Amino acid sequence: MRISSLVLCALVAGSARASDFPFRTELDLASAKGGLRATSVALLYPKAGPGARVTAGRALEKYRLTSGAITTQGTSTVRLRANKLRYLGSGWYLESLGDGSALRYRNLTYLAKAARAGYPVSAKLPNDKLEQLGRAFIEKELAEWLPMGTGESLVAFESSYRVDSDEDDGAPESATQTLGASTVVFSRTIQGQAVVGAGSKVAIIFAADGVVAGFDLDWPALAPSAQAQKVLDVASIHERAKGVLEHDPFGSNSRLKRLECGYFDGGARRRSPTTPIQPACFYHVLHAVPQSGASLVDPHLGWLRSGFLSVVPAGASVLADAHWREAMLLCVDARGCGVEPTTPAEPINGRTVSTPSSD
Amino acid sequence: MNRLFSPPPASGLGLCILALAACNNPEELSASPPEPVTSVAQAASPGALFGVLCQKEYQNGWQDTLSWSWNHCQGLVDELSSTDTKKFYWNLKDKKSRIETPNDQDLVETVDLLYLKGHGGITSDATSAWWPMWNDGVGAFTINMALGNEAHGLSILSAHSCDTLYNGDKLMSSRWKKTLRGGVRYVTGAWDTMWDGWTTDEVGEDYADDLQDGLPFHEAWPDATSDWYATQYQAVLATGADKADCLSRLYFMSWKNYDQFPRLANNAIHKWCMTQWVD
Repeated sequence: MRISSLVLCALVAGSARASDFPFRTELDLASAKGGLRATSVALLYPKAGPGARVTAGRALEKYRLTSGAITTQGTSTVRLRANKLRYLGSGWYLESLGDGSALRYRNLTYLAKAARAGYPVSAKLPNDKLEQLGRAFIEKELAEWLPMGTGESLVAFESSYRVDSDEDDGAPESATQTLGASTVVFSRTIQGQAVVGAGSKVAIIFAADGVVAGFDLDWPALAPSAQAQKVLDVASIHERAKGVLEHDPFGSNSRLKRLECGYFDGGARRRSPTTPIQPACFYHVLHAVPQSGASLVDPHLGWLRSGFLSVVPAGASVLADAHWREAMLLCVDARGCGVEPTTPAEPINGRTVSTPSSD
Repeated sequence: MNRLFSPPPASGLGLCILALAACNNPEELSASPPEPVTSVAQAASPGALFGVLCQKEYQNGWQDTLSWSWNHCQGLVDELSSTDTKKFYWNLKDKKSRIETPNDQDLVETVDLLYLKGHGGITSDATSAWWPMWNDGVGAFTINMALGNEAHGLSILSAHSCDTLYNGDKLMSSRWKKTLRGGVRYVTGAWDTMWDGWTTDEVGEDYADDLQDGLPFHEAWPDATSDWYATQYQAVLATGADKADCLSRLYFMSWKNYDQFPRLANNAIHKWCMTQWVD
């Protein structure tokens, strides 16, 4: 099937979105144009956190006597899994991940109750209000878990919404929509560089009535090192990407929906105090495969679309990071460098079942 | 109604036992967090069954390779197997007839939860959602599926695939009508792109954790599939006898209580409820 490049662009295009805060919009534009816009950056080392038990225990204690939407009142059950400790209360949960630099809370009862009140979607909080309320909540409630070093800042990054709908069976025209919740996500800058990836993020979840009823934070203390890493220009990073990514971001029917460059922080479950935070560009590649009769108007109809996430190191030399595939492919002087990480075996039909089956 | 974390009595008791001091002495918990436990309670249905269909590569490259599928699925299998019974963990080779009506009683209808990881989409004529099989040119289509009405009877379908719950054309319910009229209780999926990579390897494991903890599917699905960096477009779907029933199912149904919600099949369905996460 031949699709003109103009049509394809229309079908898979769209980088900046209404939900992006100006910082993210500008980051995408600047990254596409100039990568990190630096010739070298100082490597950063995460400081070991206090441990998931300490962080979760502290939050459990802090909110035990509060009666609002952020509360840990009542009895709770505790679950410990690899890298995760979770308290389960009556309608709420609280958990900490990894070394305790990540903390999460939800009041599901409050969120559901507010959603059921039937607020119109138009009642959703606009970005400026989300940022204002989100910052106020962070300053009042979360500051102790957000260590900020010299030259670091918290920046509004993205918003999102939960929309609930219902319709009569066989009558889609009867559909009504209500607001379920709103979320604002903050990210981090360090010496003017963005932090890309799941780490160094804070999300504040507002119930439909505008009350904060949940939060997620993943925010390590970071120490700059005397070790600097030279940074490639964006053209060289793209060349590197073609060599290590499994899907060519510039190939046929592909669209680089986002390119975001900065320090890469993969989050609490991927960080280690002995592994530096290095510069990288995060590729969000959308690939669309047209099926017979694919719509040229609606990209959902007749297209099989894939969103591929990859993180390409931007440093001229790359240090090993066991939790970062592309870094391991490009590093040279450590165990495991240059080798594709192993993955679990493919399930074989009829041979991996744990109970008897007909296959 | 607050059914969150309110499993049937037997499971509730189990949770208390596991919680040790937390159940009867919250102050002790306050002073010193109790020793965490490593075991977790069983799902509501004794010996709840789950199956996983997962695909990485497609025959003759007819669809894009999803390089990290085995990591994603293995995490779910390993984690959920600690509390529930894995009936199958297979790929999508030759599965069309056993997902669709002709032979679904031999596979997808033998479990309570089906987790499906692979490509997904909407047909060009907008009449069906579908998943390409491994086999070149072959797909399984919702208009050929009726789930929940045979064999053990499927209750929950969780599909980590793009677009299958798309409703921008307001035809989602017509695409899924035949499937849900079989009585399947809950569907989780996406209305647009589900971004995939090694940074999302933990999705299956996290989803299993949330199911084991009794989080409603409505929370478990976005929780497991989100990382607040790569925007995901999740959606969840339930049906109801009326609006209140539908919303109750949508918000509160979980892996621990799904069998407390009677199946709704055929003309017992009067409402459709859906949540979409949008930007």
